[in-house]
Amino acid sequence: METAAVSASEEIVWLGMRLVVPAGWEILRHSVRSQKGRLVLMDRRRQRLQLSWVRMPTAPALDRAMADYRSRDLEEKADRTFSPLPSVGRWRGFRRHDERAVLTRAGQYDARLERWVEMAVEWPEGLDAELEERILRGFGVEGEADGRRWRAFGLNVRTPPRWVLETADAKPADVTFTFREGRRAASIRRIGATEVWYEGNLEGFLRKEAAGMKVKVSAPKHNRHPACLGESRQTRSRLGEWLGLGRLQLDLVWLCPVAHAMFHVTTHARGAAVLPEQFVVRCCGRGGGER
Amino acid sequence: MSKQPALTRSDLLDAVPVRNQRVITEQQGGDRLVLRVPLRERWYMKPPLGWLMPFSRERRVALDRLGAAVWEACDGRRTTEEVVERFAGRYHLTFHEARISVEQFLRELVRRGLVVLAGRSRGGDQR
Repeated sequence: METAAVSASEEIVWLGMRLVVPAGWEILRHSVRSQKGRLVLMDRRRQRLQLSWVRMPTAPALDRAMADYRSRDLEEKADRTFSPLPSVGRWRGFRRHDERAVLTRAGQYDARLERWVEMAVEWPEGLDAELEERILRGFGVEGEADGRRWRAFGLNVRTPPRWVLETADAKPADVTFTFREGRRAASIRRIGATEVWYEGNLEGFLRKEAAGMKVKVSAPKHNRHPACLGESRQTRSRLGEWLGLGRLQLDLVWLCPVAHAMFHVTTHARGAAVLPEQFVVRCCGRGGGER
Repeated sequence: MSKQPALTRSDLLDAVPVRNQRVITEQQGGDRLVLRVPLRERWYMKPPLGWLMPFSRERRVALDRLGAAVWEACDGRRTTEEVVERFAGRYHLTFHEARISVEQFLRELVRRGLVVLAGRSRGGDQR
């Protein structure tokens, strides 16, 4: 039973928070700021879950926060009723009932992240208490000992320590996460539907992406898939080029036939290079060294 | 003429895309498809203006491989949701990735009069 439940679920890891939702629930809106933001997930037809967070150095009064929510909900619609939410982990909250749907609203404070986290789950077709518990129990906070993991939009990445997500651009079959650490930057891209556009030439793809730059190409393996590694340097002058100055760009690109997608890791740095392999990108079960 | 209310996401998923019966399809080089739609004859197409300017009697719309796949899936029986599922399965996309692409494409086909969306319901979610 447990295996079936797990296989029908999907893990999302975002800003150090881990969420387990039914497969098919996907991110509709996202924020990349750790200070304050939200993730909104929907099933095929409607919004189902909102995870919101705000940075707080100390824990708020939980009961007070929940009471505020209840009165706000009642102000919106006076005929709403509330029932207590069974205790799940550190979540505290209530269920809100009205003629339209049931809503689970819960909150908890994480001292390590210094973050107040709220979760609201909508049940338009009636409350599924088992799923509610699974979602609440599935929430967790990731450790940061060896970098931070990100898993969303079909990308599963572990960054080196101190790298911060700057942007997450999710278009259909084309997702890019951009990370930054001081003046160093990296982007991880996943391009799907390869059978439509990919012509079978990794090196050609790389040269096209690094147009206008001199590219040295080698062909290592990555995650046991054939890969292509490109090295190019952007300089303002010929002298800079001779002296090895300028910004070093490294590109690692590979095609995963299991995920039916191309993965492209680009790093930019002045001085010491940032190796694309420092970003652990899991494309399928092969290699990647990730869970 | 009153403006049609916008389709909700749920309405669109429940609707059945039906091809315009007057459209003639033409396979062109592998996966490409050309749709030929006869145009209504306007006054300016008739002689004598029509002698001076040879107006085209049909509009041609070229579809790439992805567009052709959606067009072929619109058989008048499948709902948009089923078309999206089929498209997602064929190109290994998530349902939402496929939904965005298919919905956008279908709206364009509707705008060009190549497809109508039948049987849409009025209820459902408003998003």
